[in-house]
Amino acid sequence: MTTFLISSPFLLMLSSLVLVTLVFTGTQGSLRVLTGFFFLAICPGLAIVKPLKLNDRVMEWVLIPSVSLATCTLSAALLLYSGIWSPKLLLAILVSFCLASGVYQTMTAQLRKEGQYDSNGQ
Amino acid sequence: MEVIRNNNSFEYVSRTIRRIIAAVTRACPRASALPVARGLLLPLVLSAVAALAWVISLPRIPLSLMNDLGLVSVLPTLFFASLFLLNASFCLALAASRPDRRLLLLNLVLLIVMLHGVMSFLEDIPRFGPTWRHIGIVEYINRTGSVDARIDAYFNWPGFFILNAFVTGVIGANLIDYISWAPLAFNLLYLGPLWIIYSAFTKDLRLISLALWFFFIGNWVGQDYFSPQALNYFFHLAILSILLRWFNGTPPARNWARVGRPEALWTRLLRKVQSAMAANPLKNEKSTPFSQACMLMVALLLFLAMVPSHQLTPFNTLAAVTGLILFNRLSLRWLPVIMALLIALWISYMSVAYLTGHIDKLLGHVGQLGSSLDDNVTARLRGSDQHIFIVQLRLLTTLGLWFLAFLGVGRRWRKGHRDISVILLAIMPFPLLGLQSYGGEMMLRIYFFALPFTAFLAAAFCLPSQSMGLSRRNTLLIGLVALVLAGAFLFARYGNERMNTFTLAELEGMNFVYQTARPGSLLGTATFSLPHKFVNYEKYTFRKYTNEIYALDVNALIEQFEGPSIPQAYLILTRGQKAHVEKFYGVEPWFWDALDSALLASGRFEVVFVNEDTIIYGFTGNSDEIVQ
Repeated sequence: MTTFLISSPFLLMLSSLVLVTLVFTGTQGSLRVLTGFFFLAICPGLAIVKPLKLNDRVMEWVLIPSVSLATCTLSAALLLYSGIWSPKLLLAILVSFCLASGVYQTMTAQLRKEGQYDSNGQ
Repeated sequence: MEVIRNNNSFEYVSRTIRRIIAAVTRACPRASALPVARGLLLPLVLSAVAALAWVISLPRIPLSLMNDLGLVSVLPTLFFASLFLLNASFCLALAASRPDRRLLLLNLVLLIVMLHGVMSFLEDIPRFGPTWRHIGIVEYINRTGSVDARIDAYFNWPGFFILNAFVTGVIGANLIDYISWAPLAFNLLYLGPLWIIYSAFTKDLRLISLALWFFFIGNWVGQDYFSPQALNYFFHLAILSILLRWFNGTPPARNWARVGRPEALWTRLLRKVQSAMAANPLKNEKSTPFSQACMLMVALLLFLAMVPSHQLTPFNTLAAVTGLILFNRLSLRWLPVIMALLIALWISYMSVAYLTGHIDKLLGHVGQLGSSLDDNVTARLRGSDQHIFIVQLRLLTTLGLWFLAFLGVGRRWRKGHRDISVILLAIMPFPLLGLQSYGGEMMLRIYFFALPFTAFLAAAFCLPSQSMGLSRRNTLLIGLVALVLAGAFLFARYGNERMNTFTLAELEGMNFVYQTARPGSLLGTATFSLPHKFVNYEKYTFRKYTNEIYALDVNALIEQFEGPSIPQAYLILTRGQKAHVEKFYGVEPWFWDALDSALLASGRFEVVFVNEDTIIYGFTGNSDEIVQ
């Protein structure tokens, strides 16, 4: 249980749900700012990089913020140039993606624990 | 007998100490992993004292008393002492028989906070005029939900601003409250990819750490504020870290040099150079085709985010990757083609509205190396004596680091290290100087792009080979070089702080203008050293009249301010602008009284707002009345 609480799927899902609640209920304040910065700088990267199984923790943590910021930049630009600019819509898309990745990571970790999944993700 | 008793007591004491240590180690199995247990207590204590001294020194820095030397002129002795102690701690940690990675990392983080975060703790509002313009573009995107490529160049590479418009929407707060921390955040972000890049060049922890140290005390160019280039530099480093870690080495297909037929002299020469380089290829990371494919996708994703975000950095990444491919340092021969294609696509389709009107400005400098050098170096050597000193120190620091890097190449080469990739990456930004003067900033950008690699080579000069420990002489040499560079950093980086920092009073003045001036008004300034354009970016015309003001030519100002298309016009003078003109044009403080008298005597200007740092003149005679 403790391992799960500090694992990346748990962080992904928790921060996604907390942020989405804060944003869509219109809550203002430090918690929203902190969760917002954390989510945008870390979560999309965590959702993409962790499943790659790089086996290199330093490299992973170098890539996570860069991939996060790049993903946010590209998806925001895509929405803007499509003429449907809406930070809330974009947030909903990113949160859905992160939740899906979190569920996938939890499931593969569980399957691996049960021996049904090899280290290459096959 | 006395001696024997003394020896016995000595043995007794040492035995007791050993027993205590053994008992502690047994009681706490991870104690041996702590730096303290390995005899690194002194550096740890020095770091802690340095951090404490730095924190205590902060409230004693009176920013308002700065002169043209910048921040250094008001720093208390305790601040310098804290830097000295941190430097000593780092050198001791480096000199340890088995350097501790965590202690070195701690020192690096402290260095970043102390050098790059100092202004974030001190300033009332974000510094630097362009920062406020960037806030204005973010506000425009949030307000309109679009970008208008005809407004200016920023809107043709808007990726960074779109990202921040999204961030603003998510955090639900004003970015102005947070962007003061941008330099600290960006430098902390740079640490990771730089560590990976240096690890691809060497396994020597001392060399990696010293190169990082030199990078952060050599990064005086100040391109890490809230700006597209700061984010793109991070992407650039991340791409290089991926490529050097996963794709270093000769491609398996035929040699690039053999592509040209018939075989020319230069082709044979190139092959000879390549075979010499192959004597010590970079280490290839153990990687699977799956991980390589994933990493390639990630690198392309990062580059894809760079292309719409900044006009210059993607070209530098392209140059760096092309250089590495040409000299067989990377296996992805087709990557530069894709990169060039992405850049060309963006320029052809998305920024064409801007390019059509500014093609002369953009291509006018191609090949004109002399004029670019003049814009970048000679034009900056003017102004007050203290400013000239700062500029000379910047030149000296740059040349000094490059000279150390040059010596480092020689030293490493003699020891059998063929650092071709490092040398290439240090050289590849220089051709950019022939393309553009970049508003007189290209030399700064080139220095910044080459810095990770010049810092590595300079560090390599200061360190003996990996197998040897650090002698006392070496440690002293490193300490001395690092201290000199850190001292120069404080002058070079924060030498313009008098004009770059803004006060709440200056912001109050600008808020008055935005509340009273009608859209379409002309807002004249002496320079752009003021918080400006942070709201309604497209609705006001900002123009600087440095020459007219410097010449006290009020009639020329009146000519510029008059016109049927200008409903209202204001002349805004702030503390930051005055500091700028005094610094760069060497005018004395009495000059502003003379200007005030001349403006009021003309009968066309009247004071509409004044506080301790701002004076705003309304121009009378245009179609709309001025509000006081």
